[in-house]
Amino acid sequence: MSNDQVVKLKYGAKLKTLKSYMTGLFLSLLLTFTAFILVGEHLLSNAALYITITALAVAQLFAQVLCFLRLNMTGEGRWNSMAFIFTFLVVFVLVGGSLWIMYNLNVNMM
Amino acid sequence: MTELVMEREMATAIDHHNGNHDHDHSHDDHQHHNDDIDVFGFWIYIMTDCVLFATLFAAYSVLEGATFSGPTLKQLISLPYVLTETMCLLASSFTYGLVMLSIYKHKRNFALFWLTLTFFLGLSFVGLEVHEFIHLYSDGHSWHVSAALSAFFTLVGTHGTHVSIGLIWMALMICQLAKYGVTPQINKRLTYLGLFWHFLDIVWIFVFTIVYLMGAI
Amino acid sequence: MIIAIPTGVKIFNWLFTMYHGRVTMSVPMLWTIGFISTFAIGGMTGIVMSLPPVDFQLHNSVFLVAHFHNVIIGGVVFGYFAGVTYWFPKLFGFYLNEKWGRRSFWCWIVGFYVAFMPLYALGLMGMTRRLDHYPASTGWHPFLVVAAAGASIIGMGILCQCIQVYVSIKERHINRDLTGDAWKNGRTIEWSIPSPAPFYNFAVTPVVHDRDAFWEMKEKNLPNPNIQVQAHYPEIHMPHNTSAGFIIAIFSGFFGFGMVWHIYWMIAFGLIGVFATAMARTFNQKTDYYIKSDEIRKTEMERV
Repeated sequence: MSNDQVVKLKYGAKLKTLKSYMTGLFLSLLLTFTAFILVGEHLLSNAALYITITALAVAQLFAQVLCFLRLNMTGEGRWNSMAFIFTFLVVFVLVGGSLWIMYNLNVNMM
Repeated sequence: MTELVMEREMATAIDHHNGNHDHDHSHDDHQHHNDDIDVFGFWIYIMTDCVLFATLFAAYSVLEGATFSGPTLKQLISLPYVLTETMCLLASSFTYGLVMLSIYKHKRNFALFWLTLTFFLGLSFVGLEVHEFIHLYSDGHSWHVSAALSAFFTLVGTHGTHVSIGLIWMALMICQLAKYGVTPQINKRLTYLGLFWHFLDIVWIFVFTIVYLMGAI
Repeated sequence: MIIAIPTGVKIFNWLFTMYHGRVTMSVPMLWTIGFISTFAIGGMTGIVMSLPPVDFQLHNSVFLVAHFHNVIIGGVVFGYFAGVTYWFPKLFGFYLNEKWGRRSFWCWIVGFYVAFMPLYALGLMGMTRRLDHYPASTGWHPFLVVAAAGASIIGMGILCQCIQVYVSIKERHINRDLTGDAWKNGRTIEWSIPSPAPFYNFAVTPVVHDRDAFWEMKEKNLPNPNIQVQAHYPEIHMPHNTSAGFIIAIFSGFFGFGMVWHIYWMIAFGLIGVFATAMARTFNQKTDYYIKSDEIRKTEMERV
């Protein structure tokens, strides 16, 4: 195996570039500060805050997954993305199901 | 910034069937094909780690109100402090990206620099978190006191443990990179560590949102 | 349900593997049929216990003990013995003695039922587990005597297995597996290589088109390069032997034991040992090698 060549192996993700990292960093900073300021200064109603910071967290998840991890649906990347979507499904059932059950138990037994 | 690219063709026909070739070329293709699969394997591990954290989040969400008449989390935390922690970890995730860019260009010393910087940013994160934990514990808000604190320490502590193990791994990679230079094996290992490190920052997004921000509303 | 439904599927899977086949009552087959039937019964008693009102009575009674032994002995032990007997010739190149195999099977299965069926009755009668003594007035004693007899029958079964191993090794030259196809009409490719298997297993990686690749090879009269010596072999990529995994496991054992009993120095010892061994291993640059064609050819020729 020659070490002289510059080898850019994809490993199932899109090519990582400085631009994508800078974009990811910028978006993450923006979304993080927004969330902290909204809560710190209590700029919205309670319900609105819950929803907004959740949305900001999900947005930052996407920003980091797409810009840092560079997950994609092409070639080898498709497998990685499929695993990711499946995991999300499992997490959704697990967390959603637990909250649903525990909420019901709380109402019925307390 | 221009990047010099020379992609190895991953999908070279791998002749498993024909038993009549044994030139070195075949080893490389086989190895590259394996590398893709290996990284996918590591990605699957990361996904299982994700499910683990999901269970801890579920437990925390259910128990966060069970403070046993003690103080709520809002009274125990400082948002600016958490913001600082977040900045350390986010910055470290970014600097790790710079590590990989340097590796692609075979610039070992740049990679070592960014890797060391990432390490210290990660170490700062852990240091801040340990300090917070010690503070809470010594003020009497330990995990023994209530279900809410139990869940808090478990979730945040598990994340912190993951980061700490990542730091041990990172220190190891600094040694190996310094010793062996940029080899395909080192490249692969740094790819795994990269996946791990970015994943931890992603989990942290949810930790600071669900635990600290929602706690502070 | 999480246990029962997939298990139900598995039971049918296993039964259907015998569909359209001519079943020979070899020793592995005896163990297998013993496994499927005993495991299914044990599973059913588990379902009995899954009903909360029933479990309220039976939890931590000897009914529970009978149930889990039913599944562990029926499932794990019988299945394990079936596998060991079945693949033994492939590993070692000679068969286990059949006569003593049959004797051990019958002792084990009869012994198991005689030992544990009384415990189901006792559990229903209210006997709890982990008792060091009990009054005669409970009426449990006759049942427990029967159970003890059953245990001794199992003991004879184990004795038969010890004798089996001794006799098999002693008579190994008579009982060699000469073709590699140890049970005649093997369908899967492990039977296409010699017994005992060479350290690289397959001299030539076979081409597989369908299920039961070896059966296909035999039906279509395809050449078997793992039996017939070839002029030239492709290089085989092999890992070097290493004890790293074993050592990590030992340290993990120390870690686990320390965690259970809160022995802090042992926890640290175990944990540091695991990490140190794993890290040292990553510095090992020579973890694999290639076997060249002539070396493979030499090994194959020696066998013939």
